[in-house]
Amino acid sequence: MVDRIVLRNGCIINPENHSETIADVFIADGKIVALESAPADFQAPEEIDCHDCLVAPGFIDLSTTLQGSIHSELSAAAKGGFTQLCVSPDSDPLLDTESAIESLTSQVQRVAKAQVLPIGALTQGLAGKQLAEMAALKEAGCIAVSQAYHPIFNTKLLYRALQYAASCNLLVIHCPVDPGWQDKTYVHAGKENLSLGLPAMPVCAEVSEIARVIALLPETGARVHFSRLSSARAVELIADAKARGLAVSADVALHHLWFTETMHRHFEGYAMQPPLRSEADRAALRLGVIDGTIDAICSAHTPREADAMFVPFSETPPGLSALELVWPVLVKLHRELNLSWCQCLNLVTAAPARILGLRQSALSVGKSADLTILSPTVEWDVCADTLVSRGKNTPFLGHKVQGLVLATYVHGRKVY
Amino acid sequence: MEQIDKNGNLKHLLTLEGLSQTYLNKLMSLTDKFIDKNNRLRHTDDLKDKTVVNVFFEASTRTRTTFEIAAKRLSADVISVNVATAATAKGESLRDTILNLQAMQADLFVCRHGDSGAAHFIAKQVKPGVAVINAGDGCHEHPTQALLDLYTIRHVKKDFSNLTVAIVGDIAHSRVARSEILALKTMGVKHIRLVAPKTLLPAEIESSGVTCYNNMEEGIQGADVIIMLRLQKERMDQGLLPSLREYHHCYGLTAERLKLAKKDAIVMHPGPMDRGVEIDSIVADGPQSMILQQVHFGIAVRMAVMVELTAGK
Repeated sequence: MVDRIVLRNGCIINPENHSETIADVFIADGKIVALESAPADFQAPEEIDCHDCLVAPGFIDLSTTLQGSIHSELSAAAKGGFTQLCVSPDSDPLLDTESAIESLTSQVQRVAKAQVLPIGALTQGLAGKQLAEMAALKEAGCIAVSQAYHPIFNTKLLYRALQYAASCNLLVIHCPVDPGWQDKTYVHAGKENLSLGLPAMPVCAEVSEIARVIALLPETGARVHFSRLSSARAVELIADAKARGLAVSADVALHHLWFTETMHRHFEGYAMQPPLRSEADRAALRLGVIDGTIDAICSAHTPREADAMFVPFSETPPGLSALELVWPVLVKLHRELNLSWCQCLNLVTAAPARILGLRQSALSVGKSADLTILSPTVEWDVCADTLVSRGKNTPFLGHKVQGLVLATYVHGRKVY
Repeated sequence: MEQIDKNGNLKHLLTLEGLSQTYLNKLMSLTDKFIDKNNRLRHTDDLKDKTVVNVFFEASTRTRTTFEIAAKRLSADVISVNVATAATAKGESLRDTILNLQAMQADLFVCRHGDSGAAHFIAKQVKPGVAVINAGDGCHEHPTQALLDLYTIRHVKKDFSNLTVAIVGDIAHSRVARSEILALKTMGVKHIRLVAPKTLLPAEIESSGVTCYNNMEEGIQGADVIIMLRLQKERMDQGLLPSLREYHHCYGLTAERLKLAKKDAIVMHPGPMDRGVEIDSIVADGPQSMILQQVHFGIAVRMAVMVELTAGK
């Protein structure tokens, strides 16, 4: 085990203080001990040339669903540049008790890759009937609570749940879909579906749920993060809530910035939750990212086994394997939206850290060496063999993408 | 899933999307060959030594039977598998069912399934040279039904370009309507009207060049062709309609309403019809009704499609 490393001549990106500088990073005992010039007596057995590369804080994901092999998914996270993952409560096991959290944490410790930040269930069994033991979940290590995509029909119960989460000082991460529409509607009720005839979800299913939750905020005192926005009207509603000073934040899932409903033409592509929407919606989501209405990007990583996909489209479970494709998408955003590296990387580092109330997200002296080395230029082929995740369910399969993660460090230890 | 090969020939019939007017005319001309001058179906050897397997994951009488008769008229060996009571009920996947039937030397699958996209999925699983006909998949398409409707309209009206066609009923959940709209547009029908309450119309449907009417009287006014769709009873439970009585009151085709259409208007229905709900008996059995003629033409159209898909293989 090497406990002293020097990263030479990388472009250090620090989204927290908007800085991009070429410098060396000196790491000892899991911490960054110096930037630019070496501390006295510093000798490292390992020097890494980061010329032409970016050195950034490790990525933080706001939404990953873990099912099956934790080892492969944490390896995929490391390969994608992630050092911290928020794990959605609708994972396997379902995260609604202390023992489920402990079981997850101990498995994660054995793998020793990215750090996992469990999101506890808002209601027991995510059934939307009875509040989960949020205080206990918090003590067990949950960073937030969420109902994922499980409905709460009863608005009074949702009101109580938000109040109780606020009492526990827990952030509520909310995936906005009206409860009546949460059943197997994985495509947009729009033009593309006219020729498919799949069960579809209109934009109003998202907008009405955001409006319902926003209406409850002033009287509950809850902090709510709206996760995975999909439509232009949702972005408008969040902008409006922020303008009124409400304690809300929002993210968009990676693929919604790249694809639209046309992915499903001829029943191709993958079922998605929320669905991919129109070109105009994608444009508004991108604009929301530029103007800051949307604070962060999440992966919404949901790996699926190949067997699960051997059924007609409407029977396939929703979700995409995404952790390993975050960096290529950020490279695309940098290019197409004219965003600086700081702005791009902010979306997966400092911004999620702020939302989650984490202090650890900067590359500065004294901080834990959680970082990633990125090439913005190297191209690679996305295929079943190049993806570490067990889920090969990605529309990028067979495509060449630009942007490669070269290495990831957690507490100064190389995990990829 | 691409259903047309690089020479422009059909490998499968999954959808009417992408089929040109020339191609639809070709299929209709081919259909002509299977009906003799006395309006009787011919018997040919076109599918001799071929095996046609009907795989119906959903109940069907008319469609399955007409496909069976069509295949027999072409001298094919025909097997109908009622999958609802077979292997899938024991937990076998759709893919395994198809692969097993294929291993029994099937040349042509005729498939019906409750999921939109199931026919595309099945076509992806079969080996090259094996053809798939979509006999209805979820709310997606039912191409042979639309083809037989086209054939029926052409039989009576000769030319499509000046027609006003009204499709009445549950458009949102109708695979027939989806195929029908594609087919009518391809044939150059200028006025396609969809008549239904908003709950039974798909989102953004008007972007596809049709006109929607929530009022039956306005919708069928001056129409040349009225296509009535079946109303499924479960629509009431889904909050799409209050009752059958109210549906009939607003959208049922009565003799009185039919008078609003052109004098020589024809009435069609893909069946099975619910008399007294979407259509009154006096209309269904009346002189303007083409409903039984549709069934008859359906066999010839399906013969044409089967021959087209197996030609030269």
